[in-house]
Amino acid sequence: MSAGQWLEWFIRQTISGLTLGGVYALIALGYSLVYGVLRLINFAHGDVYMVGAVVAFWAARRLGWSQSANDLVSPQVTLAMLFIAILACVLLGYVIERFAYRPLRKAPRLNSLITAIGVSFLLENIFQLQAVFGASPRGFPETRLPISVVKIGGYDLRFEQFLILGGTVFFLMVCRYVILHTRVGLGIRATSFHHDYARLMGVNVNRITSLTFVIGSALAAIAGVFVGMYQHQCDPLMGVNYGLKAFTAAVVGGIGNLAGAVLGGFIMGLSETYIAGSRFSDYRDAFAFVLLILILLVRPGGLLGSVAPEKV
Amino acid sequence: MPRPIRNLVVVLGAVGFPILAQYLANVGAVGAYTQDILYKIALNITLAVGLSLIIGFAGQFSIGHAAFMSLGAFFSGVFTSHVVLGLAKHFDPAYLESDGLSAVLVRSGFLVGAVMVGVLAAAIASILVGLPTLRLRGDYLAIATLGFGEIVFNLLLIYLQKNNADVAYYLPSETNFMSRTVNIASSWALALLAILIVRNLVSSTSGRALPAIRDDEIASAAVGIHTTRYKLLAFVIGSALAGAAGVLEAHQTGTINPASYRFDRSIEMIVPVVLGGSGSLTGCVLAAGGFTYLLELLRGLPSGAQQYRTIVYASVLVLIMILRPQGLMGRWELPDLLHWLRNRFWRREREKKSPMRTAPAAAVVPAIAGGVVAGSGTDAPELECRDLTIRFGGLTAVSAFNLRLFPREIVGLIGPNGAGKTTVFNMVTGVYRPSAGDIRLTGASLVGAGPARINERGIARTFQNIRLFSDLSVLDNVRIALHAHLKTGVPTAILRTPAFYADEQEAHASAMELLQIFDLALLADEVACNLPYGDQRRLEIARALATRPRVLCLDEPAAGMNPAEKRELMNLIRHIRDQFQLTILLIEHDMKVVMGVCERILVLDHGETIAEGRPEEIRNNPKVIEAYLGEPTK
Repeated sequence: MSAGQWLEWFIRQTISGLTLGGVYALIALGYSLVYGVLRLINFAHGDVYMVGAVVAFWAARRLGWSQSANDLVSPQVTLAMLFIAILACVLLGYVIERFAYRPLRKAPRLNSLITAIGVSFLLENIFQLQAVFGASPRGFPETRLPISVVKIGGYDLRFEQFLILGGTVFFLMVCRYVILHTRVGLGIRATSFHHDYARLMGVNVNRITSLTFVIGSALAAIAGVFVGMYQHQCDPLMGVNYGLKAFTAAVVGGIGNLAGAVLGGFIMGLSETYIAGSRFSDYRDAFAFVLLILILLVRPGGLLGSVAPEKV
Repeated sequence: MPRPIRNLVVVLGAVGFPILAQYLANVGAVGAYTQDILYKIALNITLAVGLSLIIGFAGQFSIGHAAFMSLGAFFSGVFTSHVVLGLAKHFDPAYLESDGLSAVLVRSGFLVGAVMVGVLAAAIASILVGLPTLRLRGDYLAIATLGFGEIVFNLLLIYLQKNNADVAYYLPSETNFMSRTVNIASSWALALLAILIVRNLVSSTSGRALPAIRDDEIASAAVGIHTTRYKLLAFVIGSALAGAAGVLEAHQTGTINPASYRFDRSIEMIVPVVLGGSGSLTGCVLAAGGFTYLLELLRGLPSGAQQYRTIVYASVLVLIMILRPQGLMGRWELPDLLHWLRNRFWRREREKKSPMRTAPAAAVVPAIAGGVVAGSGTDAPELECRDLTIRFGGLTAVSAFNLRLFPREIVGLIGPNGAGKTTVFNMVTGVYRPSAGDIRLTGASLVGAGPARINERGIARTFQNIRLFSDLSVLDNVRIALHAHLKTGVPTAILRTPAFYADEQEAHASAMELLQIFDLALLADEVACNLPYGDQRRLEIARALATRPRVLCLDEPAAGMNPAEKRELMNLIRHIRDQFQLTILLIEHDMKVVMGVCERILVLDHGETIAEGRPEEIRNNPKVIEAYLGEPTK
């Protein structure tokens, strides 16, 4: 490979990696937020992301999309799909927390873990029913845009990719603002620190926990729609792989640490696309988890997290 | 039943049942469908029992357990396809296929070889995953095993695609020794072996270290349990059992498909452990067997209903977790269940009340008035801290702390809240590593040793906020602490040799003796968390003494006690010092206790030693008064 070709490859893979990484970051934030307030690995989170994509698909059909690959939808329809998906996932996230996790707040942690896994299986299998969505992937509407491709060197990059990347950055900034500069954000940070202390300071821990799920689910819905747009399809098991990768990203960055989740997401996305574009592409999934175990060895708390010593 | 006969019955049953079941199957008394269910039940029991040791007893989450199963399956599959096939060439094929006893034995021999390879592969892998992650507390094992499961799946898939151009590994039909003649015998032999190993381990004194770690890891280390070692032991045994189950599955089906050993399979294994009652071996065996049978029944549903199977399964799982979080059996084992059934249906007798304590507390401990003369300054110090300093970030919690503790002395460490007293204890017992300075026990440095190691060297402690193993009995709390002084270890516990019983008896006797001293003997079978506060404090001291220390560190032993209990405690402290030849370092806020029992007192304030001397000197020291009450007004 000549230097020029190499540079072209590098730019291409970097842009794809950032797009993928941004999606991982959006999902990873949900894992990290929930882990922060409940110390729970919310295995159902990847499936909330899947529901986001599926609901957007349904919304598109309602809004007149003919389900064929040639039928492009207008940007307004795409925005409406995004909005409806967020609403649906927010509701779903709230219901899951309220009815599956809250009764177990005082039970051993293994119970909530198993319940989370149960909820995940439930969602995956309900959506696999033919009456609901069906087991096989379905097409996802492409958006009609003024520019469709961007040329880098001799290679076409889809404009959607840049749109997704821009959208991801926008929503990450919104999330950052909410967490750092609003009362709700302050409540979430206080609750993550200690439930009882937060309660003593007048924080309604139950409400904050619900809101944490709401925020996490909204981000997952956005990620679901973005991936649908990018892959042009959605299916009931699309949450399994992305969920696992995003969770890994959250741990790599330091679970419970929000900046860490974003950093972890981008690291996972970039490393995945670089490896996928090389001759080791077979090993890209294995590599993600090798990276996870290596980082746990060197920095058990993740890149930006820390392991607090237990008070004796 | 006397013990040797009982053990003989257990062994005969464990050997006889699989052979009998297999015989009945081979002569046609058991149908093919029942055989298949029997085989699956045994396999799932093996998996659940192994996982129950890790999750239920040691309290560690392994959620990629199927990976160990696939490693066992894969490596044994490669082994049989190459090695065993080579060996089989030396036999007449017709003979190997025959149903004669010697041919069955040869085939079983091949299978045993394969099982050993599979167990070895799973065990090595579990050490690689467990060693780095089990040092840490929390969810790290869960995360690492989750990732490990995906790595194993990916690598096996890549291997198969490169070498066999297929997504599964197929065993040559000649090596298909399981599916005929020995499938039930081998699977049930493995299941019963798994049950025996785990039961023998967790009902022994050394094996009780596992529930102790589950209840409180810091307290476990403080009584001399090497926590990482025990967690790893549980993890390796559990994973090796999964490896063995993988071998059987591979040789039963003749196919090794990595995709069938992914996350959902691991979850399928965890379900019976949690449903049966995490920490109940009986519960997980019943749940694994029952659940396997139920799932087989659901397979009989009409095909239109099949798609709802997993939905029903997942809903039941969530509902049971919410409605009965402790699982079906809680922590009951078979004897508890039988006892309950007997009382419920046969005798209907009222439950025996546990014997209440009658004797007044002080009766057992002779009140020793006055102090024994403290060790004179000419002796070598038992414990010595030199310029001990610790910084947390920018805060110096303790600076240049010096202490010489002479044999059989009782020294008090006092000071206002936040003065750094407990931090000194934490450094001396290895919970924190000092930033500078040295700690020496009879001349040898302790800096850098972990809490368990330091306990073995002869320092024991109690905790400011009581840290008993709250789910275990009073007797077990003390017995576990004897664990470093047992003559026999885990292998003897699993094999149940005569030496094991002698050792158990001795442990029981010394534990009871200690409980007697602390007037807790009548409460020996009570669960520790049900004890009144003062009894819990004294039980914690008894537990510390069981580790046979030279130096005992008591962190606010009188906290929460009433005046009578405090007086009794003072006598007790002097009494144990004399009886066990102890040196005692004591943190206490109650001045009556400190002044009454200590021969020398050190006063800490803001991490610095501001005074040292005999009680009456300390009482009148203006600096001490200032530290406690503030500056005098002029």
